[in-house]
Amino acid sequence: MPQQILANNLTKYFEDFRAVSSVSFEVNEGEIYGLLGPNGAGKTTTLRMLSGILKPNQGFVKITNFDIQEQKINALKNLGFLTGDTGLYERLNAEEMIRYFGELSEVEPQVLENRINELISTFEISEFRKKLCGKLSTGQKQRVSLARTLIHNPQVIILDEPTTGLDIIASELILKFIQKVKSQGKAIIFSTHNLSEVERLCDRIGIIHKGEMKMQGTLPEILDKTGTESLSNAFLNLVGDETYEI
Amino acid sequence: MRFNVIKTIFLKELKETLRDKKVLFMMILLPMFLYPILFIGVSEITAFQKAKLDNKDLKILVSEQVFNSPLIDALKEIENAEIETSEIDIETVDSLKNAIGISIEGNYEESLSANSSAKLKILYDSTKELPVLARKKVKEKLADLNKEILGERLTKIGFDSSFIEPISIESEDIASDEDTLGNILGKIIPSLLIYFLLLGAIYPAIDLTAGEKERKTLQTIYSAPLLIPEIITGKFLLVYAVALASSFANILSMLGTLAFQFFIGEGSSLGFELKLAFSFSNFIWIFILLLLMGSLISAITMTVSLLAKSYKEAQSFVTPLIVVFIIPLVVVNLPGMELDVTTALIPILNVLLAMVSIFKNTVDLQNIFLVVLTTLGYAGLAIFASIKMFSNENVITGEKISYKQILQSDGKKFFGGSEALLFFFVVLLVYLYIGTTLQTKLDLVTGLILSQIGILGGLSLLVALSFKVDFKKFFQFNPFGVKAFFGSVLLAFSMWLPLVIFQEMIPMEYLEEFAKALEPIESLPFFAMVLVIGVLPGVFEELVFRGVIFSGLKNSHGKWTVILISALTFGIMHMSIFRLIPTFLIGIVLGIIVWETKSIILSIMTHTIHNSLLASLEKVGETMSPDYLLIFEENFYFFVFGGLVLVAIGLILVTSENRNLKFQNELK
Repeated sequence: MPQQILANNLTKYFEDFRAVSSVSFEVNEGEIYGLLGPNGAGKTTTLRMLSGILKPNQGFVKITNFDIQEQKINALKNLGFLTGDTGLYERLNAEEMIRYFGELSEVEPQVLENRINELISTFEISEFRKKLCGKLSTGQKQRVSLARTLIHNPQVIILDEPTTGLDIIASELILKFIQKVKSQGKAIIFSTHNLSEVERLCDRIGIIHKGEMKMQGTLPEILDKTGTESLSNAFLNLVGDETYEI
Repeated sequence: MRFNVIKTIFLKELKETLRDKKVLFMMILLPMFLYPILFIGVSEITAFQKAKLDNKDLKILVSEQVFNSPLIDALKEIENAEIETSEIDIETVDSLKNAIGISIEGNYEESLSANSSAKLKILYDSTKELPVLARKKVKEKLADLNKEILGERLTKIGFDSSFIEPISIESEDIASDEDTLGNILGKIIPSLLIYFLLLGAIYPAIDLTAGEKERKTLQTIYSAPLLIPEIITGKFLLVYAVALASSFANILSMLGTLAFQFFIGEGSSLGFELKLAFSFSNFIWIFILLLLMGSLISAITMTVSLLAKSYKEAQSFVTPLIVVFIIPLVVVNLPGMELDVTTALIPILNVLLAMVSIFKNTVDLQNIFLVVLTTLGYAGLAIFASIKMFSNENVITGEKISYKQILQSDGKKFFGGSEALLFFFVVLLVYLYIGTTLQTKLDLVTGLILSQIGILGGLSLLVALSFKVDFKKFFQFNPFGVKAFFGSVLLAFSMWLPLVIFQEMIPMEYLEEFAKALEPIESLPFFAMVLVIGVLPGVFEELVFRGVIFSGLKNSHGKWTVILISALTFGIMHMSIFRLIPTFLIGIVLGIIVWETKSIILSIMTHTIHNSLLASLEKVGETMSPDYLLIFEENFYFFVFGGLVLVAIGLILVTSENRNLKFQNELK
């Protein structure tokens, strides 16, 4: 099971504040890794380091064996990154948005056209494919964002709260898709506040709190180590009784 | 950098920009309608108002005592004037709407026949249009009457009007139509071109930076497999294109409106002859200046807007920038302002003055070249600043960033190609300002010594120290082989020969000026002269161009890019449009020497010998019999081609050592 994502000893400071502290984990081919943590735990910072947007003060990230800082283009050609902070261009239509990112990833024109059509049908975008992104609903936007993330058929996919704000039908479409790409051998990092989604999808789970990796392992391992019977109890157990949102 | 990717980014930004109705309105529709409305509309309204006033009756009240005098006859000649006699006092005049009153102090007729002054007083309300107009017309008529009576008085005593006008003055404007037009256009167009460049750049600059932060699309593009300079270049090109397009659209619309007014002919107050007073080379200079200024403005507006977190905030950041730009736009039209060595160094103002001089057809190529250089320096620094800003993590994540963070280094101590270019722009600007000042305020010799050691040496040392480089490796103080040594000596003695061709192209007046400027150096004792002109530039210019810039470029580029770019910077640094090509070619030769031998010692030697040789020749030339010069001139092409052959042999010798080395390495 070759390793696709390697986060090694990641540490990030913002001025004097240590946002992430010595976080390490790896994700293999065909594996979904769930990253959990309360708001402000350092999840977004970790994901940003994984995608090369932030540079760690210590440690390194490898995506399909390419160092994200040193071999950025090769690493990013194998990475699809979707977070709440990756918006759409309001004055491009859905199809143009997807095509633009395919072109930026230097996908061959013929392959790109097929891929666009495939994703448009997978995420049921065809009825609004010519509509400007600025005029799409939240659910439609999220489906276009996903297609944009996956246009270059990356081996590694990072999805930060992909179902937030979506209705149950749209969420289901996305979750089914994640399961499908997992079966194709992709390595996926999935971050969400919805613990039932984690239980349903993730092969392994990492729980971050105050910038540190509190625990990682499979669901049974975590339940076993925390001596709890559900993920939500394990989660509460690990992050303490501080104020947080789930 | 991958140009296909940059093109993709640019085209996408263009598509989005063209779909933005605000941009279309501001950049295209507004200029299309603004000038016709402004010029035609305003002049039509003025003409209409004037016609309306002209047709209205002017009521003029005059004191009864002059009822039958020639004064009344004169006033009656005023068009639409209605003359009435009555008592003249403030109340009467005020009670009649739009009337003026002429009262007479003393006896009018008596005063006139006694050859003294009749005193008239005009009562009018200066806040009303009609009385003001009536007063103006009355005064004109009375001036004529005055002249007539004066003439009569002079005739009576046997004089004519020339008696009271001993000197008669008449002026004739000898400016050609082109000059007049150039002067008028020169006052308006440069300022407008630059102002619209700024206005054109602001909107897309904000939209593509702070706007994207606000819409959260900056992180989307950063997650694509792109290098930061590729993203910036694509965005920069769009801002640049819109700024230029907006500037051109405004000027075209304005000229179009003026042309239209001219062709529809009479009645237009602004129509004047639109002959193109422009030679092709003037047009090219304006275009070059505009391109440079556009790049400077685009880079500055993008950098400033990136500091902001939102669209609104960016707008408030950009406002002071507009104020900064308005100052030179005002200053440029002050009397006595013209392009000289000092004003050529003041940003924005220098470009404006250069454009004005081009419109007036008073171009001084050397000064315009200085303007191009300084603007190039500023544009380079501004683009570098925007690259640095775009690489800032807080910019990417959409946070607001503080000034402290901009200055903070990212901890990376790598001196590569872009750092080398930044270094060049800094050296260029420091040399232009401080070096030129030193050389003019102190004497030329002291100024030259100080700027060579202090600026070139000092800045090179600063880079070496702050990047903690290994001096020997960075500056390539390496030993060299015998063949390379002899090759370099041969080059040092021969490379000036083919370059004499370029000497022939330099205008005589510039050569004389240059020779005059060098007089203080040539009057030095021989060894001092060799030191100032040969050794110092040989050492310090080499440290800058074949040392710092060469090493930086070498860290991120291949052989010919390194040699050509370092040679180009070397040529530009000589700050003369006439010496650009020869110094560029010398830079290539020196670059080849250092690349092939990996030794800066040889290029220092070659440069020193070359400069010393030229200075000595100049000195010897003065004392030499003209016969020798004649021999040279008669056999000009023999010397040029002979020189080329020697340069070729020199280059072969210099490169052969490296080839042997490679061959040996391959054998191993």
